[in-house]
Amino acid sequence: MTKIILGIFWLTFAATGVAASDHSQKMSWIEFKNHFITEICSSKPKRMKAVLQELGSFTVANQDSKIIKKRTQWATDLISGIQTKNFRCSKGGKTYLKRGDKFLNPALMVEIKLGDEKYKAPFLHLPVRPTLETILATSKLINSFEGPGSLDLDQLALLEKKPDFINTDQMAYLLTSQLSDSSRERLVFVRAFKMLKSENVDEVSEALRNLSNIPSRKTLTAIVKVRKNIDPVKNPELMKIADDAIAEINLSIQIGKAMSIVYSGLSYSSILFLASIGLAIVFGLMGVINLAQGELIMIGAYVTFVIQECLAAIFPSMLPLYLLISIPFVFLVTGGMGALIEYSVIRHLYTRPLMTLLATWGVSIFLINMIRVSFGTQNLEFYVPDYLVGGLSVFGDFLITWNRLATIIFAIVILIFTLLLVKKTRFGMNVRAVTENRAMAGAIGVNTRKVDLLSFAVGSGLAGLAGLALSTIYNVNPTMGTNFIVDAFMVVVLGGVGSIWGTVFAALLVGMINVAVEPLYGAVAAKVLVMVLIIAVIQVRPEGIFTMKVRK
Amino acid sequence: MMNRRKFIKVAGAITGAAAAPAIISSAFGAGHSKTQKIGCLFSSSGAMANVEGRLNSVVDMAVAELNAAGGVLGKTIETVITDPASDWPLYAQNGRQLLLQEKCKALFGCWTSVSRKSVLPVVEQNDALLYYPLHFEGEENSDSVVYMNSPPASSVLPALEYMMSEDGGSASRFYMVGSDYVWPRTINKINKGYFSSLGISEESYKETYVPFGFSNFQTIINDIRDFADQPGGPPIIILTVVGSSIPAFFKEIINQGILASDIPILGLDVLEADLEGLDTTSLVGHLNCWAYLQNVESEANTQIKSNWASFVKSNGLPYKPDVMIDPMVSAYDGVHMWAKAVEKAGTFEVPAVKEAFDGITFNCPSGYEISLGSENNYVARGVFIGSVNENQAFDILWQSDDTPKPVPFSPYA
Repeated sequence: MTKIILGIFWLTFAATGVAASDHSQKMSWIEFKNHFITEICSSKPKRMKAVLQELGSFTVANQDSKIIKKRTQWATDLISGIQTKNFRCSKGGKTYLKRGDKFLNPALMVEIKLGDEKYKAPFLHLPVRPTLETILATSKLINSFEGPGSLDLDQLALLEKKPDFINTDQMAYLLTSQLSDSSRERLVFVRAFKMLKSENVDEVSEALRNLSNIPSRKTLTAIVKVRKNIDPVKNPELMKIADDAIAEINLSIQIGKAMSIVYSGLSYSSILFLASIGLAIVFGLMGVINLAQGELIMIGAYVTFVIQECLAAIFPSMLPLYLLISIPFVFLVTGGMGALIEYSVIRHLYTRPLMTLLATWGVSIFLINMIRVSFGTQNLEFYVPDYLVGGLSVFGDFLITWNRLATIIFAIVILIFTLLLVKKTRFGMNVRAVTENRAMAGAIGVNTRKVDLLSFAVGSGLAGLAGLALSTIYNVNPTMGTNFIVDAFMVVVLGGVGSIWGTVFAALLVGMINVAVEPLYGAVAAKVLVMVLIIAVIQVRPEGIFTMKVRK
Repeated sequence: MMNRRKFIKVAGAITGAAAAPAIISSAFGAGHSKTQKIGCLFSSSGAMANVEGRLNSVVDMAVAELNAAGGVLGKTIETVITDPASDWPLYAQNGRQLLLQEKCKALFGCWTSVSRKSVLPVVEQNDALLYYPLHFEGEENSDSVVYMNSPPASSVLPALEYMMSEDGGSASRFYMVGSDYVWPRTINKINKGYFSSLGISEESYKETYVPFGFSNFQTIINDIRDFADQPGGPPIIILTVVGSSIPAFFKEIINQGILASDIPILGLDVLEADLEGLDTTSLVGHLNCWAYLQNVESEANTQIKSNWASFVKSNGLPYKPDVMIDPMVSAYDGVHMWAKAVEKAGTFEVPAVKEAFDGITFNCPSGYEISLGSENNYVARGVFIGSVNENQAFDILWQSDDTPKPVPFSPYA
């Protein structure tokens, strides 16, 4: 009975957050913990949100830093438990927190035995999540902070994304600790969103200054909203600060946007380049229309997957490096497969290009089905190493994502490798000789058979490496290759058959146009425009933009 | 020379066989009077293959169940499977072959609406039946199609209503991304009609479309971040991209570090199978809405899941044995409801079977008793809103009390 009354009591107070948190200060810590658990078990978004804020305030309400640590530790454990569904409630009001294979009483953190009741994790409705995540992040920050220095950057970044949901008491407590300048600056920035709503003019103007330090669309929106409420007659100075801040942020956003387009363009171009460089050699230099090129990309991704699985089974500690470790294997396997295709199929068809087209199409379908039978049709799950997750907010809303950056760098490395191979080695010289004049090259002693075989193998190996790089960005399944084959042919034909620089240029052109047009007119229009461009170019320069001077 | 010729012949044969996706493979060989054929029109190659292909096997499994129970009207049922290769006109061509050449009495097929629209005239002209297992845009009511799944009024709008409610996060701004074909465009048209009926201004939503099979979502997600940070209230993404674009979209969402607590996604075509291969810990909380979710607790659900697992195992199929998705269940329901209608009619002839539809019910794995009425050929199903969890599946967030009456034509379109 008392419980019900208490519940109703809390329900009334939960709506008025301030009154509730005032009251909760009068509770003892253990009383509050029990109260928190009941509220969470209610699964009602409003009550959960309110009690999470109360928890934030309660953890820092004491003066003793040891007690604060203890409380934030509890908050961190419990909120993580709620998030991972290790915290569960029964209908009868019983609860547990699972840690390892032990069941704990969540308030006291002592082991308990469970009855045969049914336990369910409290449901996290969408509006609860931001509060839950910010309180958890702040608790983790308080809990892990060991004295003068910097704060955990990951948690800080979480707070920066959801400044509206922070707990001001926790924030104030954090700011009293001895922080490094950069951490303090970021915390002050996060707090500024809340301070904007303050009645105090000085606080608002300070908040405005802090916000304009880290310009983004979000800060702009917040400032514009505040500016509407400023009375220009009463507070002309504040108005000016707001206007200056808006102008400054606007400029930064524009620059950020431009940088972002260039970056996206580079990233898409590098993907196109990777997908087509193998084809540039096979089709460009050798004149073989290889429709199985996309499937070689796919095989490359599958070999990467196999290496990943082997590493996970044999050397789990090496797993984060699987992408680097896979490089030689992928190149050798797909290269070897290319050599096999050349030797068994294409070798017989050099004089009949149309036949090669049909035969390689057959090979591509064979490869797709071979993989489908042996691996299944589902998308493969790749382990994404930490260094490839997320990105760095650079300027305005411009975000450099690590995996895209890695792809760009990888594309550059492959470009250099290919250029060196074709321009500086004896093998490359032979390839160029055969491309220019097969009969003459043969006459002066170049083994054209061997050159054909090797170039096809190299082209296939490069396609495999593309598959490796793309596995972190795209879905890996048996049909992934078909997505790339059209793009790859487009790039190679546009760039000029037989020219590596042409491929680079065409990939950049197609990538940049796509990215620049997409936000304005949509992805469909971008694709149409690129096609029109290619048709136009082929009309004027049938051999592509860059052509090799060859004696006909 | 001999060798080369022989080789070309073989290569030609292989390419020919593999390249012509219209090749029809009969599961049990040519039919005789003791058997009755039904046809499958699900792509096992092309952009839709990953999710659509498995429906062929589901129909096979349901048919095996029928046959184990003595067949239908004393006849053994035989499945004829085709591969329309995610190529829309091929659906019509294969459908015609199934009806005229193979004499199939019912077709089970299509995922995308554009493929259904392509077969529709074929089915209507030949007075046949098509069981269509997907939830779709509605705005169609052919008496030759049995719509096994919900039109938007009983699937999309309840989900939107939830997201706009206080419990759902009071969404007030909407970014609609879809593949460029009839389903996403009609759904978004209905959404926009719904928004304007609620007095939501045009600045509060934005729509964009991508080509079929599109996978480079970097710029679009940049644009979404930009949209989300503008004033006007909490944003959500209404995702209507299909097939291989779905995991590609989610990969880029994870990559740019967007969580459900930043911008929630209502993925209207997102299924358990689309989450395969993704690390869903950073996708937890995104939503979908279907007439079945894998986590439903019902006897029929436990049954179908274990049947499927053993069917996959014993036939060596390349699918995950523990993933069951709504269209699979709908296709499965379709086969059983067809058999019930045939039994009721006492004949395989299509007009009589159609007459028998009214009042056919089936105990669906979703836990609802689903039924066909007299007004239209839409099956009344229950509705679920699901929320992505960390195990590549969906938790049930909300479910309807009973099976709402399907409304084929939306007042908002």
